[in-house]
Amino acid sequence: MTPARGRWVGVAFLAAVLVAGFFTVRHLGRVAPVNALAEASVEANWNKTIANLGITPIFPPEEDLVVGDILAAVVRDVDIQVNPDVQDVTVDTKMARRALVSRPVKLAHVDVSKELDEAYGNLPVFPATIGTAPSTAGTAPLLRSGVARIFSDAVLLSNVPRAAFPRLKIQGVDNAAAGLSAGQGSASYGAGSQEIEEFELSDVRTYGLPSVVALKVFQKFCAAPETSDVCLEATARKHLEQVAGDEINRKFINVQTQDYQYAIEVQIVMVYRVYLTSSIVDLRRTAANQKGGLMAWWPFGSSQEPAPIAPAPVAPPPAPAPTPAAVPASTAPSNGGAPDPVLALNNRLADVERKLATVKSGGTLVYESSYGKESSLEGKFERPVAIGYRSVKRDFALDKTP
Amino acid sequence: MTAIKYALLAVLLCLPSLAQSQALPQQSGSPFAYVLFIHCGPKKADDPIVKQLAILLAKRGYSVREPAPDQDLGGGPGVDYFDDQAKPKADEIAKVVNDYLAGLSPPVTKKLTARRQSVKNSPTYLGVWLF
Repeated sequence: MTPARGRWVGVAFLAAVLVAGFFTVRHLGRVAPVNALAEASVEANWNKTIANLGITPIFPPEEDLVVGDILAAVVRDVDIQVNPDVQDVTVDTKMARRALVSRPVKLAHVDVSKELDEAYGNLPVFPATIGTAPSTAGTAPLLRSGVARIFSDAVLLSNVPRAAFPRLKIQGVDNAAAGLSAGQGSASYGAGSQEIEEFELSDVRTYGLPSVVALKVFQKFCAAPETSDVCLEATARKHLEQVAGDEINRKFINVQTQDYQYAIEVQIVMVYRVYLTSSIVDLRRTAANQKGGLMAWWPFGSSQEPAPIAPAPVAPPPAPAPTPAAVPASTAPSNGGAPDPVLALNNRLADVERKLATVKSGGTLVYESSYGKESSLEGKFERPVAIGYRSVKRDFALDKTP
Repeated sequence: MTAIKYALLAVLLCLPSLAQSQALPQQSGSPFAYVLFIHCGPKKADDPIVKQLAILLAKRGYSVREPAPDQDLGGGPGVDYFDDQAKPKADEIAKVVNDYLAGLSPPVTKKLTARRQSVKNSPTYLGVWLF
């Protein structure tokens, strides 16, 4: 093999190694998946997390969702012909995604304070302190008054039954770096990604009616002549038009029934249980960073100075990035902070650039890309806000004539 | 020698571009379903002729919206499409509808043809103007 041919082979081999190394590091650094995960909206993330806890989410969390509320809600879009996972999103798919997000509209409220008093009147309680109200005999105070739950008046937040939810914290860090040096140049790549999900609800409380009692109240409300219009499907669609737009009245032909049917299913429900919290931490942070540097001296030049010592390969990634517990969310950088390996790579590339300054004939290529996204819903509230509910639903088939 | 230098440089310069192309979601290249908007004026959506046609098209895999009782008085019957990729589907639908209408008694003589529309719309949407 002639020296010139040997150089050709060497150049081709070097290029192949560079390309392969580049994509290997990217794969190990898991840069692309982070970008995909970051696309979800705050609302979608919230709804998904709350739904995973087994209750119907409400976004944004609000104070005035109470037991007895009548809500109209979008259930699902059944006219989906497009796979939502496909990237070429059509208008229909966008609509479906939006419709699936729970955005109920409050239609009315049924006063259920009497039913709540009855439901909680005979439940056992476990007071932490002795109550202050005197007993009927006028001697010792009643223990039960220490956990007073008179919903027709007002109930202290501390007396509302507790509910425990797990604290969720997921953290993933992936880093990869590689370097290559030869007599004619050097190359180094680094890629890293970080994904943090933290969800915590403090002091969760819940109250509600038994489902049977709630259904009876709801049916009575819908049967009453003065309020029966509230329970009609047409009413629900009319008021949900503000949420879903004109599409709420869209129909398509159903091959099975051979008739037209609404594409977006709606329902009217009555809330029978509400979950309240006074503190929310819902943090999601994703970050990805990749950086690379290539330096080469012309391999076919004849009047070059000897090549300087090529930079050593990039060191393996050190310890993961600091946890969010160590870095307060309010002071953390919006891109989630640069992972340590990337910082090391920055130093490495600066070294490369310094060495390049001593070269008379050569070239360098340095690139860097970073991506970060953070969504945060945090707060402590003076009064509790509802984060979700359970409900009994109205069967619209009851509205149809036989 | 110069060619080799340029080739090597091109490979190196392509790397960041390849990285960007991988990081962004792909916007095209996968099959998608078509949504048909039938305009059946002067007939109504519940007219048996219109309803049977809607069922026929739905059985062929299209998502068929409830027909609207309007009519293209200027352009006449036709299948509107909004992307060049949708032309074969528009032609296919025109043929299906023409065959169906020709089989009616009395047969409908006006033929539907595929028509490219320049207005911006979803490429998967097709407008079927029957009469």
